[in-house]
Amino acid sequence: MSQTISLPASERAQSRAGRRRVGGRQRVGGRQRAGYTFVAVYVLLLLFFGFAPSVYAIYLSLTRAGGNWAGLSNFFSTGRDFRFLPAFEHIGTYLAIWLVALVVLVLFLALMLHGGVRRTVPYFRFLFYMPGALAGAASVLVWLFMLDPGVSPYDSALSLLHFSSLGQTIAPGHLPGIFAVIAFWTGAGGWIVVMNGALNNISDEVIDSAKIDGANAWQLAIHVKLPLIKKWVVYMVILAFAAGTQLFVEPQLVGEASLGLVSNTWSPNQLAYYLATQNANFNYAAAISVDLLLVGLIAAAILVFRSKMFEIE
Amino acid sequence: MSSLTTGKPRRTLTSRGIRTAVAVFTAAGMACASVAVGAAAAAPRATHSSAKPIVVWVDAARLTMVKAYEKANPGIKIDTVTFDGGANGSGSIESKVALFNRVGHGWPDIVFSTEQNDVQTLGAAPFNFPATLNNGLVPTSVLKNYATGALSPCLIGTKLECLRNDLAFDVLWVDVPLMKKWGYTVPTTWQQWQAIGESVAKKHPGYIIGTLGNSYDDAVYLQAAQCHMNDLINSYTVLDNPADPNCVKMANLLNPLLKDGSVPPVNVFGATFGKKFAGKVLMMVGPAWYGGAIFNSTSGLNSPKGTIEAAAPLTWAGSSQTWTGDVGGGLWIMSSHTTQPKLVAQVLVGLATSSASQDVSSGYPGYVPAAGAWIAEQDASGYYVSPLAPVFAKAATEIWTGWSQTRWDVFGLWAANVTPNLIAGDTVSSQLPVMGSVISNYAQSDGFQVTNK
Amino acid sequence: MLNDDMAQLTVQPATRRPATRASLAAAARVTRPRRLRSSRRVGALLVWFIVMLAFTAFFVVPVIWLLIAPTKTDHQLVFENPMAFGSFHTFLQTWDKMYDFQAHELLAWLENSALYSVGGVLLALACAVPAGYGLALTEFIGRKVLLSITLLVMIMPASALVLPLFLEMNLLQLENTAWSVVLPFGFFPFGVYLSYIFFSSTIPKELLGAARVDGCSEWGVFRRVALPLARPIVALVGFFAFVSDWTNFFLPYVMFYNDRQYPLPVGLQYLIANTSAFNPTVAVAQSPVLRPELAIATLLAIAPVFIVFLFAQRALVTGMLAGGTKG
Repeated sequence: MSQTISLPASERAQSRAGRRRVGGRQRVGGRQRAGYTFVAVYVLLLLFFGFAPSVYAIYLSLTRAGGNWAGLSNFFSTGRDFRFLPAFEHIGTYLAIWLVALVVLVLFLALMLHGGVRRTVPYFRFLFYMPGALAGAASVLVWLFMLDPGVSPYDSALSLLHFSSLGQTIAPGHLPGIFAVIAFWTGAGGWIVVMNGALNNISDEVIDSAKIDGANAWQLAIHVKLPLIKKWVVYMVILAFAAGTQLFVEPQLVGEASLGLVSNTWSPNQLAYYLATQNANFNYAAAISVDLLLVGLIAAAILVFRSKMFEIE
Repeated sequence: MSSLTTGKPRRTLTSRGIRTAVAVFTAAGMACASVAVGAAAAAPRATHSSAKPIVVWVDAARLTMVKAYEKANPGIKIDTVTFDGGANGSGSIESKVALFNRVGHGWPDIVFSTEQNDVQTLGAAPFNFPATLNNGLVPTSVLKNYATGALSPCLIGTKLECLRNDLAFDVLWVDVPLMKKWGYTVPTTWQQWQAIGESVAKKHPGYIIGTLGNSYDDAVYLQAAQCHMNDLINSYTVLDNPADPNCVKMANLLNPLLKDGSVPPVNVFGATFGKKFAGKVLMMVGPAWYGGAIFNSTSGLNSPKGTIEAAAPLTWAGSSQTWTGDVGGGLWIMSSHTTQPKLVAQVLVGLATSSASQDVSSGYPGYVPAAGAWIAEQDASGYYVSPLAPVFAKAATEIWTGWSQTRWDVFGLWAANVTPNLIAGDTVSSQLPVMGSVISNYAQSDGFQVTNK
Repeated sequence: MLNDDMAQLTVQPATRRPATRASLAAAARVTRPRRLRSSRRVGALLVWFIVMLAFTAFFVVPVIWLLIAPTKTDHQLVFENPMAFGSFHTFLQTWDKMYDFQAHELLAWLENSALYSVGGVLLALACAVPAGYGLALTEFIGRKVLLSITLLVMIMPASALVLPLFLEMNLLQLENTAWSVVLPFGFFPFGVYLSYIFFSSTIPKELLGAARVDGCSEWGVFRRVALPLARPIVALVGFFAFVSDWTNFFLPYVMFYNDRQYPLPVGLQYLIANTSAFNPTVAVAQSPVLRPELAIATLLAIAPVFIVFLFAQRALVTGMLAGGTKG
């Protein structure tokens, strides 16, 4: 998708001429070197706090406790663990509900905000974002009360669903849905902020000309705005998919809030954590983490290549 | 996509201004950080010439005990760090010890754990954290003064690897006026208790004689019945027999009560327990600390003074010996990596047994000489209908030790696997095999053999 | 919309005007009966508001509950209407109890959080903004590899990185110090990607070309062209970096041995473990921390996020992202 160009033609010609004048190869080489300086500090931190630990984690997954080579045996051992398959089944159900709800509702709300009463945008954006501040431990207390029909403001909603106690609300079959609701509640606001920012990037001229062409609000949203923020959407789907497969906080905090009614190995990431902390088996934990990494990477690769996200336009 | 600038720089924040600001803030931030680093690195350590300060990790509830001990022993320098105590199976001690093991330093000298089974995990590979105490570090005279069975969670084989802080034996809590009003006598056997429950369900629905919604209900009921579902018969084998007649008989006793609502699957610490059941608890089988935690608490039932009494734990009719369950009680653990073992052992014994510390303990002391003073103080408040002391003293000797502490947390497993099914309407009997297989899975994954004989 | 306008035109007496698009639209606006247009508008607006308010209720009700919770005692929290306001007096008492807890430990946690987050944000901004620019608008060998590795590291489950990070910090002898969290906080790949997407979608290459022609070095181009336009992305990345650092639990939990050095998330977790409602073993000890106290500690922990958001919002105002000032 090309950008609107408002440079007058004369200037454009001048800049092209200028490039030819100075000498293409020298310029490009200088730009290459400069490119490295832009990313230098980041690359340093990336190597030290991102890449090296990731490589070490992968190394852990392929070795045993003493450092001996284990090949794929850690993966087989964890795969045979009685908690492994149930954890992945749980995550599958959860992802199906949550990913769809997140992407659809975030885009819906972002578009609603962008296409609605502009003056209210900062207020709604702030209100939607508020739960995002309650990450992790901060929301345990909140959900202890929200999910318990006896003390919850959502009492009427819960009784509509015939839940008369906390235990009924978080019955095992309801858990994927409950976690999806909590994760959406916490996470949607941040993505709405990002998408709203992306939509604000679209020039008014594009929108106005589309309106003149006869687009109604719906067509404007689907056929004009959405394609223009494609890169952002792909980014969101990649990260949401990875975050979904790596679900940890929600089952952990509902488990705490309910005093143990949710297993602390409900999700694969929890199982990895359990193996690392309770059994000090960092190798098994790393193997499960690598499983999750592979799942996320495959999804990311598909999305990146199909959407050509890495191309410079 | 975007419209172009006209090239004019903004009036407000110039790019140079941004850079300067960033530079200033970065410098300030780094200066602050280095001050903090300096402060952290040069944290004022005790300059006591003969000993380094002893690092003690406790949770907030036990902080008063350490402070009291420090006050009574001013010559000993203690560095107290508060943490979550490993509560609810968080594994915080295990995760820190695992990290320290990797780098070879950082272990605390003394750790308090609220989890009865922590020593079983910490004492095994790869943690190998606790110091063995019964090879001379702690005098045998001290160890002999512990109530029978109080130290069993600390035993790995024959090695003693911790000191028990408090006991949490189950007793029968009774609402005396209510019992009198309806003409019930306080039961002494499980069968009598069941009969009252069925009567209450018919005549006074909504009133309860116990609960089945907490994680430790397996200890409350099954341990009291001598059910062999989690019995370490040696250091690598666990006896897990859900079909054990003792387990079955208790489950059968509970089934009708669960069904008719006199023993509902509710959690006594749930947000709505006090709301739904204040004044409706006729009896409750539960640990000794229920007195202060549930009855004499505004967050709990808030029972009026002079209403509640602790009666002796229930016996199985026809049995000559009473056994009861044990729910809780913390452990004082000493590090095997400490550089001052004798001094640390002295402090450990002091925290676990001295009157200075135990007088402000949160629970009934496992160390018998300290227990008398502690319970006398509880009785002094006059809250209970009759003194707790005689009932507690006897119940403390009746904890069934066939229910072992193991690396896997049976409370957590019960809560996650059984309680949701009880809430959904399943019988207790149907959950015995469920629990049995869960224990079997966890035991095997921790390297244990499982037998059902 | 336009079709309806045209339909209206045929009914009304036509005004003779050239039928260009712009003029048709203008004509439509003039000739269409006000009543019809405004009622449709009002209807759409109403639906819009109802939908937005419904979602707002979903997001905000639990937060309002949390705001009200410290004004009630633990007993009131359970027995009274969840959204009923308690009393200001109770609020003060709750605050006092929480403030006094363990020698003002809450304040220590707050200071720590501020220190670690500010340090982390500054470092993250200094890295992520130029890096995103470099990835988006300069070509160098390894650009795509860098993007891929960044994505890979973002997808790696964080719990797997805990041990290696701890070992690294131990090597550097920085464990149990503020640097052990600030330095990893500076590594903010999410921000790099945001910055990358922003720069690759916002700055036209011709503008860069023009600046380069004028003899600017690449850094000069960055300073003169990109940075002035980058205020929204600085606000966005800075904000997300702040929230990520402020709410991070695992890193400080692993790196610090001493509760006095915890930031608020770890402190909150510690408080929960010492609240009788969540930990029966504490119940007997009559801890001063009950649920309202927990609520007030939680509010303190989340308030700065809101404050920072409000500041960052000013840079995210509609239209600012669409370019600089116009004259």
